Amino acid sequence: MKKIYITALLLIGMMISANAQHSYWSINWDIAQPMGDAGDFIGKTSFRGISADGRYFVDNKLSVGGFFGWNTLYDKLENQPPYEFQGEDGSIGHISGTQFRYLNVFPVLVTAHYYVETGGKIKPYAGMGIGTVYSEQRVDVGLSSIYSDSWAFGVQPEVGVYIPFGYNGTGINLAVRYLYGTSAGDLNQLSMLNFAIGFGFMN
Amino acid sequence: MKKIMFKYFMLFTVMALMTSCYPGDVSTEDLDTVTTLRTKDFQKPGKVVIWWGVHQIKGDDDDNIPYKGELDDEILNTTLDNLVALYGQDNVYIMSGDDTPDPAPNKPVRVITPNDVKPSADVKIVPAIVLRKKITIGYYPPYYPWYPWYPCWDCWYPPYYDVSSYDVGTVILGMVNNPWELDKEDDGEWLAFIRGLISSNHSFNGSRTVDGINKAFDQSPYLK
Repeated sequence: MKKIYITALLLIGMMISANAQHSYWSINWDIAQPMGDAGDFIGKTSFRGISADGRYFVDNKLSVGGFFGWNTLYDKLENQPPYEFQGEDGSIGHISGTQFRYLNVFPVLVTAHYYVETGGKIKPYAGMGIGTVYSEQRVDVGLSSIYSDSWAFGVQPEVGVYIPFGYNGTGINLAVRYLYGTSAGDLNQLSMLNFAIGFGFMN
Repeated sequence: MKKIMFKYFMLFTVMALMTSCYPGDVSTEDLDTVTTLRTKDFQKPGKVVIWWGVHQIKGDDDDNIPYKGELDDEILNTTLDNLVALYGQDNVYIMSGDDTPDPAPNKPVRVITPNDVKPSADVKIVPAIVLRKKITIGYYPPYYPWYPWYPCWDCWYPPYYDVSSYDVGTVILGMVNNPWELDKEDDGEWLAFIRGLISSNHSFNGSRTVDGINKAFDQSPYLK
């Protein structure tokens, strides 16, 4: 967890230092809908998410930067089939009970974005992130806890819009992202749709 | 500088909120679990003996919860019903000792006392309940407890993932060899752990006991 905080700090630091140039950064509230294997594990929409995004403009239409996100997903499942496990000697066990499932997802990506000229201050954009996704999965049954984590390769296409208001380039950032992570370790592929709303700062 | 500090403050505030907002809607029943375990070479038995009594697993000090057999009837009768449903009433026996509860005259199976000639049987089922407040587990599988005669506080409690203790109120059903004798060297063939059945509400405990034991048999279809 410390590594995550440090990475977040570094990214934010990069964003802030980039802020002195022609740059854009945003901090967002993320609403995540897991899909595919992740959706089978936890089907509920998560309203507990945050992301930070910093970009440096190469020219008026193109930026490169970094992205960090954190989504925490949870579901409580009752009347599930028993969970099977195996002892090292080949003995077979089953455990049943109310399952509490948790999934924490931390994408850390480098990004590139293209901006569409609208003639006004509003900036629609489309982009792609590529990097790594750290996932932490846990199933609690009674007092038992089954835990797995992994670092996976991840990509994240994104479309969004920056709508300025007020002074000094402050505005609203709206975005829709699709996060995909490869299967890694004990975890299956990750697939998640994110709706982000937050503050954007452009200068 | 103030602007930077504000940004950091915002970030960590949100992180702290996210960390602290895991849900807390956990009821007593949500913590009930049923764990079953069978050996790799498990073979379904043909004839089964149920030892008519619920062994109380205690420590030697005062760190046990009070229990006066309030759940014994539910444990024994529910287990018997499941065994009869699995093997038929002609293939299930009750082993009754002088100090065991009265098995009642209307039981559908034959009651054997210590002085009777023993019919052939394959395994015995021995129910037990954990009354110890905390039992630390040390061994990693597989190790079958020498219970109930030698309660083994360090025995393995499945699943092996993260469990650090038996929980008080856990009912244990053990299917072990040597049907007519009690011996600490008996080999366990099948074990069921029905966790967390003792609360302050007796009728609630009783229904959870019945549900838990039924579930233990339901999730072990290989017993038949």
